[in-house]
Amino acid sequence: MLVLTRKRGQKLIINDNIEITILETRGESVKIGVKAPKEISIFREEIYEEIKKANEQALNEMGCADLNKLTGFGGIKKDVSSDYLSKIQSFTNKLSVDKPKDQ
Amino acid sequence: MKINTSRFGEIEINEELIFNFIEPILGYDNLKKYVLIDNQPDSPFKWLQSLEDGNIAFPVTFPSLFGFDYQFVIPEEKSLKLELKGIENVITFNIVCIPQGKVQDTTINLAGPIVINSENKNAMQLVITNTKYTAKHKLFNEDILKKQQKKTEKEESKQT
Repeated sequence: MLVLTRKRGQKLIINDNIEITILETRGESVKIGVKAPKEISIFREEIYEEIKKANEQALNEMGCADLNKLTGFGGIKKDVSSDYLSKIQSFTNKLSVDKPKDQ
Repeated sequence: MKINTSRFGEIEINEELIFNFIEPILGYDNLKKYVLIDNQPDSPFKWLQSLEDGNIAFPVTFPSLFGFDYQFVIPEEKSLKLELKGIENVITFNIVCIPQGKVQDTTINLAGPIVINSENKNAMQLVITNTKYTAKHKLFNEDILKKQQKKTEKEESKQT
């Protein structure tokens, strides 16, 4: 890792097209300005961590083996574009073990 | 082709419906191939099953089914990576977290939607920033839950 010391108002240039400016320092906080092409993604690290944690919890804290039980909580809209839902359905693998009972 | 899964045992999947994650589901960087699976066609929930690790299956759903006014922008560079030609080729859904013993507290990850190009099956988990969306948004509306609770209480009192 490259470590640099900068003063307030000083800048860093990365790759000719990304400009980082130290705008303000106050106690523990540093205010940073970033100028970059719009195709460059800039995120706070926390958002990554939050999503990662939510992904892990979705797997590891799974409290319901039968997702159909969840529909009992209501609030599910029926009037959503059926075109889109049938499109999704066409991209879904059906479990052959669960054949419809009414046939 | 047949795949082995810990949740469904050995199942048959259509090879044409395999999604190729060009950017990973965060935390599962080595897993690229997933399929959508459901056991009931009309259910709002499905499973996103990994082909490379049979133990990995994320429950997913669609925010619009729960009345969320959910919109996000796919950044140009991501759209290029997915090789998206138009909005009509986008399939998107979100991972849900169903806590043990507290199913009513199920949350949906609105900050990290799964986005898929239906044409070439390229997929990624997008990171949405600068919005009100969080990674753990309550899925069930409080009012509906209260109504549901009253209904169950009524039914229980009828039974006794």
